[in-house]
Order: sequence, then structure tokens, then C-alpha cells
Amino acid sequence: MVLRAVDVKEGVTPMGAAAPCGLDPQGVLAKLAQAGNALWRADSLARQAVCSVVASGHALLDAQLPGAGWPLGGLCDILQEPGCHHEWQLLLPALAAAQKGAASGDTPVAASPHPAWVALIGAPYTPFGPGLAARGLDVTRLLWVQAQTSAERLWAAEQALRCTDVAAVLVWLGQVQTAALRRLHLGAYTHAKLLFALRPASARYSACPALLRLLLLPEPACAPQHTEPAASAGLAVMNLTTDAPLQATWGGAAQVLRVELLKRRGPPLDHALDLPVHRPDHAMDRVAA
Amino acid sequence: MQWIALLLEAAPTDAAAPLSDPVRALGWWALRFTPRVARVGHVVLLEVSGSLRLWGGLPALLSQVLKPNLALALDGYAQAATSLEAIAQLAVAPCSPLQARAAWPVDALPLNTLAAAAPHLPTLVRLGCTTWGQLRALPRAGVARRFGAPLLAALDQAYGERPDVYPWLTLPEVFDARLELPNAVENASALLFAARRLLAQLRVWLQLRQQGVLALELIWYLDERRHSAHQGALQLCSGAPTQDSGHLQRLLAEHLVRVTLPAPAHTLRLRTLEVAPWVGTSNSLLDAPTPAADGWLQTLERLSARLSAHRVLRLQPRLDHRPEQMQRWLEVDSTFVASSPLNKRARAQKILKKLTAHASFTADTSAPLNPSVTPAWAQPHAPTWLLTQPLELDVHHGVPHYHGALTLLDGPQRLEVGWWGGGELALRDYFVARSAHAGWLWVYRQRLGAADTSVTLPAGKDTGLGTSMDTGAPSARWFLHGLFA
Repeated sequence: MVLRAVDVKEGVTPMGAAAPCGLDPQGVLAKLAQAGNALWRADSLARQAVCSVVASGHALLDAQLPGAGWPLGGLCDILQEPGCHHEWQLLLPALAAAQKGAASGDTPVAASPHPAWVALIGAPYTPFGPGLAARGLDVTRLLWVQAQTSAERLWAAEQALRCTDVAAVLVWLGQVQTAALRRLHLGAYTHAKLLFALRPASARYSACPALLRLLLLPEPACAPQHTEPAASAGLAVMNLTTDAPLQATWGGAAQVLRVELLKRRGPPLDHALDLPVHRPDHAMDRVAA
Repeated sequence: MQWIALLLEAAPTDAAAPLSDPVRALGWWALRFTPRVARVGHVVLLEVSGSLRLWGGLPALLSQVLKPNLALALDGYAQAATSLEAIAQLAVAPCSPLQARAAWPVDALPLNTLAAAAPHLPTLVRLGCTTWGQLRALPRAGVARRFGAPLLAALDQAYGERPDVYPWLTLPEVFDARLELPNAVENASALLFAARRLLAQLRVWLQLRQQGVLALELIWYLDERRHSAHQGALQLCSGAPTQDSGHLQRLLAEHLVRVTLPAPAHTLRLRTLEVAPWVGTSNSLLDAPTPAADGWLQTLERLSARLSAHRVLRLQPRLDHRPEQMQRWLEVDSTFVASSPLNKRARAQKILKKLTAHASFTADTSAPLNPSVTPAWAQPHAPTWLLTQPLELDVHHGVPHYHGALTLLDGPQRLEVGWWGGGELALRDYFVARSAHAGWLWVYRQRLGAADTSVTLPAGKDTGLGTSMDTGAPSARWFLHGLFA
């Protein structure tokens, strides 16, 4: 049942005069709301997504996403300032889960004996396997498509979405037409796949058919207080003969990733989210080989 | 004897995939009802007396024959006791699949429906002889003398007094079809238009033979007046046996885009190089509302066909300490799945090529490995993006700069590898650095003594930190190697 708009103030139900007497519209709405997915009030966050979701792996973000996760079957638009790359921190938990076929919702992904593939289309740098594997991704199931032009990337993304063995598609795009994005969105919708478009932040003011739009901001200034002014003192601050020269000041503390939710099914979020992410710490051997 | 004559509709019903030779395709298709199928002009004849019981009688068989068939539509059919009569009935009283028509009496059939009488038709008409019955009533000796024995033989055949013998149609072992192009084609992509008809024909053949195609070849013959090659060919390999003419067509389109014809082409030929038994897909008991999706191999083939194979990559982990050697991005090899001899050959050639490439690279001690076997390969401190070529950073007052001064946060991780082989000696200290603009970076300082530094080394070249780690030395070079994204 889909109810598009009901004018509550006027107290008129869509059925008009034929409505049974004594049935106040608020009551009808309450009943509909109890029925589950049928009703979404635009002034509140849609608790139930239209499609099944994959948990993002960030509790703070999940709380603000409709259905508590990334939608399977819709475009997610992720905007970043040029030169900034925070996509893996944001997406890796969900990608790892999607590879294992873990989706919550009424139409779960068929569990297959092999992990599904993740397609990277037009990635800006070489994906580094050891780093990705340590964060839970099955890197042997990573497909890297080096598509150069925008048209090639859109085409390749569409092909990847059509493939049954691909669970998620990440496509790096520049300025593209809305129609092309809509086409991608429809492809993800038809095949119920995770689709992330990574675009420059300058695209935030153009129309986009995405279900979700996120803006990743450069890290807030509360970055680790490196007590020694290394810039002036150069490298002399480090005593290379000791085992842990800088651990004390930095120590792999949890940092934050600042995310602004630009568009979702629900009221706009007025504050940015600070997702805790783990920074790399050198708990490694000092001399390799 | 029971004969059925079938006539194809003149215009193809499926305009999207017309067949190159629809009558032949109809004949192939009719082979499922009886082994005795013959083609006479545009008419396909079926002798079904042997298989009537199998199909449950003539009406049941006819209903099967007349079932709507996607690529082929019947214009009419006729059924009679002899082949010639069936052809004649088809000419005078064709039954359409929707509406049956009463057959004419044999004697009343006009003579122009008998092919053997065609040369003598004017004479016979002047004699007042216009039907089969009237011709048969004439004295045989006179007819034989005047019109020759073939007419009498045909008449006997038409009345069932002489056996019907035809060269029966068989399904060829190898699909090989030619198509004369209606006009010379100069543009390779325009060949696709004609090739679609051959592909549709191929599909019929594959379905009847229960085969899937693994490799096929499209050959085009060029205008010989030009002083160029007289023909060109394109080989198409599929990772798994396929019957999907749509998929083959898309693959062909991707390949034809890159072909330039030196001269106009006048004929196309399509043949199968390799086929494999077709294993059908099983349907689900429950109605699964999944949209038409592609398999992994189909997607790979299409991506590699358009973007070329070296741009569709998968990762192979390797045991090494140098970050750039810890992984290798290889072409996703779709052929490793299928086990066909042709593909095996291609794979063997690839392996051979790799081996010879490695032979010159004697120091390639880093073996491919499985990350699930060696969890140590995964490194939590490693970045997620790697720069293909380390980017040399500007150094001011001993501090590396990348969009502003970098703050070194963690390190060094010392790397000293590569000295045993012919490869590059890597003497690096890796640091985690922070840039106000670009976030967390993975940088390294190239230590003195590395292969490409021109600085002469102090005498103690071993890991003596005191000598080689002259901190803040103006010659220290800094490189950006990765990003913590």
C-alpha cells in the first residue's frame, strides 16, 4: 500500500465522503504507521528502508541512515574535496560485509560459497592489498577496472552492476550528467547492488537522484596534538635508537571522520557526524628483513 | 506415407534477429519431428509416417509443428499422402496455422503445381489438359513420346505409384554459413548488421545440436579489385559455452569497432571453431523475480573486450617486504575457468610467456601466495592507497612538504630489502605523516646507500645507524608512497 500524501490538517482522507464516520485521520495514520513500511512521515527519519540494507559498520552513521545501513539497490553519492581520500574508512566495513553476503532485510542476498566481488572503477590510486586485507576485505575478490573517461566508467559500472557475482560497485566520477547518474541508480535498483559514486565536492549543488548523499570533510583540527613542533625541529626530535620514538604522543588513538549527510529519506541533518575511525599505528617490526 | 509441406512467411517476424537462411533453419528445426526432412525450393517437406506414433498421431504432431516458434513463422502448410501432392496443395489451398482448409481432390489439382510439367505447360493447355486427372487420363505411351519420361515419372510420384526420394537434410557437424552482403560494406561496424543474421542462424543450430559455442570465427571476403588482402577474420572466444546470440553479438560489436577494412567486403562467413555440450540451466521451483543478470564471465569478457584485458585487473598477493612488490595486479583471466582445448592452448601460451618473462628476472623470489594461508601478509599499519610511482617530495629545512609541511607522527619502519637480487635495493624508513590538507600519508625517506642515490657511502655500509642515518642531511630524499584513505 502506498499512500503518497494525506492532508492531515484538513481532516480529509483520500476516500473523501465515502470514509466511515468517526475515523479521524490521525488514527488512520497511526494505524498505517503500525502496519510497517506503508507510511513514512517526511518530518521523521524513515526507519524502514525501501530496500534491504548493509550495515555501514559505524554505529553513529547507522543511527542516521534510513533502515540503518547503506541501501542495496540505490545510488549513494559520496562527495569529497579534491585531494582528500577517506572513502575506504567509510566504506570498508560495509564492503567486507557485502562480500560475505550479509544483508539485512526481506530479500537477503543469496549466500554463495565464494565471497562476492567488489568492483573498483576508475580508482584514483593503486588499491593496496595488505592494507585493505587487514581491514577485513577479501582482496582476491577485488576487481580493478582502469577506465579513463567518464563514459567508460559509467559503462563499466553499469556492466559490473549487471553481474551476479559482484556485490558492490565503487565508481569514481567527475562531472557527469544527472541522466547518467539516474541510469546508474536504476541499474543498482534493478539488480539490488551496493553502488557508491565518489565525486568531487563541487558536485554538491547539482541535482542527483541518489538515495543518500554524503560529504566527507577534511579532518577537524582536533588531530593529534603533536607536542613537539616537528616542522621546525625537523627530524631531530626522534631518537631512532629507541623502539617507540613517537608512540607516546600519538599512540594510534582513535580519530574521527567528519561526515555531513546532505540527503536522505528524512529530515536533513543539521550537524556533521564525527565517526570514530582507527588511525594506523606502527605496531610493526622495526626492521623488515 | 504422410507428407507435410511447410512454407515460411516471406517477411521475417523477428526483425531484431533475422536469419541468414530461414528456409534452412526451418529445415533444421523440423528435424526434431522426423529425420526425413527435405528442402524443395522455398518449401520444406517432412515425411512423418515413421514418427506419427511417437508424437501421438497426425493432429498432435501438426499442433506441435504449428506452435509459434520465435524466430520462424509459418505462412502455411499442407498435408498429403505424397510429397508432390503436398506441394500442390500448399500452392492451391494452403492451410494457415489458424485456419485449416479442405484439400482439393487430387485429380482436380492444376497442372501448374507440378514442377515437371512446367516446360510443357503451354502445349498441355492447348491440348485442353489443365489438371492432374486429365493428364493422367492421356495414354502413357503417347505422353512419354511427346513430353518425355520425366513427366510420367513425376506424375507417378505424385500419385504414390513411385517412391519419393529426396536428399534428406542433415544437421552439419560444424556450423559454417556464408552470407552474401546485399551491398559492399566499407565500415567494419556495419558488418555487425549482417553478422546478426548469421548469429541467429548459429543459435538455431546450437539449440538443435544441444551445443554451446566456445570459439567462433567471422570471416569477411574483400573486394579483390583492390590490391589488398582478400579476406580478413576475427576470432571470438567465450569463457564458457554459450548459446546466447545477444552476448555474442555484443562481443562481436566490441571487437569489430577496432577493425578497419582495407577494401569493401562483399561476403561474410561465420563458422564455429569449437563447441561444447550445452548444459541447460535448471529453473527454480519458486518463481524468482530476479532480473536478467549477467554471469561473471560474460561481464569480464565484455569489459575486457571494450577496455582491453590489461585494464581489468585482479590482485595477486606476493611475499615481499617492498610495498610495491607485495601485490601484483594481473589481468583477470576468464579462460582459466573453461576447460576447452583451445582455451587450454591459449592458457599454456600465456603461462609460457610468463615463464620466459620471469626467466630474465632471476631475482623473482617473491612467490604468489594465498592471503588466507598467510595472514601475516595483511598489514594493519599499511595504507589503503598506494602510489604507483612514489612521488618525490620537496624538502625544506629537512622537513618534507606535500601541500604544506608534513608532521611526522609515527615511524620509522625500517625497510632494507632487495639486496640479494638484481632488483632495486630498497633502503627506506617509512613514516606515517599528516598533512593538514591531504590527511594521513605514508612517506618514506630514502636512506643513503640505496641504489639510485649518487652519494658515496661511508665505509660502514651495514646497518650502522649512526652513519647512514644522518638525520637532517640535505641529501635525504623523501617520497610519498601511500595514502590512508
